[in-house]
Amino acid sequence: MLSDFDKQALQAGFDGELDAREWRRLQDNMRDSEAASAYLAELETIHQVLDGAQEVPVPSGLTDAIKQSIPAQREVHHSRATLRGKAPGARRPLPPSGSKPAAAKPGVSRAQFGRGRDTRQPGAAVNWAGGLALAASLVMAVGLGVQFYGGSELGMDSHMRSRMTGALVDPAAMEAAQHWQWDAMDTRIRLMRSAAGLTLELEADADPAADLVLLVSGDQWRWRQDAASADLSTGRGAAPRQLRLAVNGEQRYRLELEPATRDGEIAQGSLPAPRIKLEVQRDGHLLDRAEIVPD
Amino acid sequence: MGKEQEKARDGQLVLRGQQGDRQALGELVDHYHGAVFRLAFRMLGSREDAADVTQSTFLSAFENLQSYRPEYKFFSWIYRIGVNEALDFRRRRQGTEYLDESLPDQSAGPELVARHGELRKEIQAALMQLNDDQRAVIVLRHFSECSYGEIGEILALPEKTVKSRLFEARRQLKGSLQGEV
Repeated sequence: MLSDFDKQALQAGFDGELDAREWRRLQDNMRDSEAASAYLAELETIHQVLDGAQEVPVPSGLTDAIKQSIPAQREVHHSRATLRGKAPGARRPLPPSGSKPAAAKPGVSRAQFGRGRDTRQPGAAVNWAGGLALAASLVMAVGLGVQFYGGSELGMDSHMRSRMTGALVDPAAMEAAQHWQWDAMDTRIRLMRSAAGLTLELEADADPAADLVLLVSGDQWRWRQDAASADLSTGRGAAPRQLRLAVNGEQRYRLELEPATRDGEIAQGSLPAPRIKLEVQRDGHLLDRAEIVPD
Repeated sequence: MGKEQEKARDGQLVLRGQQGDRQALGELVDHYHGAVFRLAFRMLGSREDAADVTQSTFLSAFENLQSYRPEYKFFSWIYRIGVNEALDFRRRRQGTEYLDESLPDQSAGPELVARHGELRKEIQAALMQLNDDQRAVIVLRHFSECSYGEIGEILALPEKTVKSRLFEARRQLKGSLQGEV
């Protein structure tokens, strides 16, 4: 009877992972073992069966399609690395799937960046016209389902009406544009109303990779439910209020907020501006924090 | 071309790519798109999905080209992205049945084609019964012919873990392919 340890040693030999001397010694030790012979035969059979899986031809046109998606400019990354005082070589390879950039998660589509990232220092005016065009390139595309009662408490003049439900929200109280240049992450946000409701455009740059956690405080707002994925942890009940984005290099997102519901019922009361806290974390450790404050 | 030469060549291409040379990135696509496609196919079981994942793999690689470290082999790096992209894709598609879209070898007789077609289906079905971790090591070992060290580098695992995971995966595969093994 072979132990799993013995089998793994035989497997390593079978796979060519042992040097010639080690392999010979192992074979000598197991020469009289029928179980060892049987296991090696089993490995060989599995190998042959898998070889029977015929090679699949690569679809024609795939190469061209990939080449067409090659970004036109890469130089911008150099200026970013210089600005942050880090050599590109200090970066680490793409992280394992657990900390994969969230851009590849469900509900996220990819597209080409039209231009490089703005590397101006904090305090400079943010070019949001360009930012909007950029944000469209990498988008967490979720709609805003505004379903909120009690909006009539707000004055008509300064409010927009949701196209979906007729509820009222106050855009002046909602909008914000901020920029933080932390050591661990450079982050720009713009909170604004869109045709459908509230959108948070986010541009983040972390090197090495870090997590950006966005937490909507209070009961009345949440990240849109259908954006929920492995990366979207929920707060109380069914309302996801905490969104964790794995940022590796430059990433852009468009996130949307909707009023929270409890147990499937629509929340009641007035609609304050959402309070959104940001935390930069790495390996579970808090590095920086901030709060989005409406302008 | 030996592995060291490939590594040197790829390092040069990446360097040029980092400096904005699209042709260099195109050459990397030429060298690796087939391998990434086949890896994705074995992970997903669908040519169409594998093509999507291959595209997203290269796009992700080019977007993160500055994070590439020359001490790693480019193929390990692109495989790593490919595995992650395939696993992400599969998670998004959780519950979707796999379709074997590999093409039969038409040069064989009809019976043999049918038998081979069945075998291919059985093999791919057996692969899909493995969990993601097990499937990744089997695909990298058998279809991409990676060493334990390379698999460890691609999956960010110690070699010991690669060894034990491969052992478990083969045991599981043997059970699934009972009629063949």
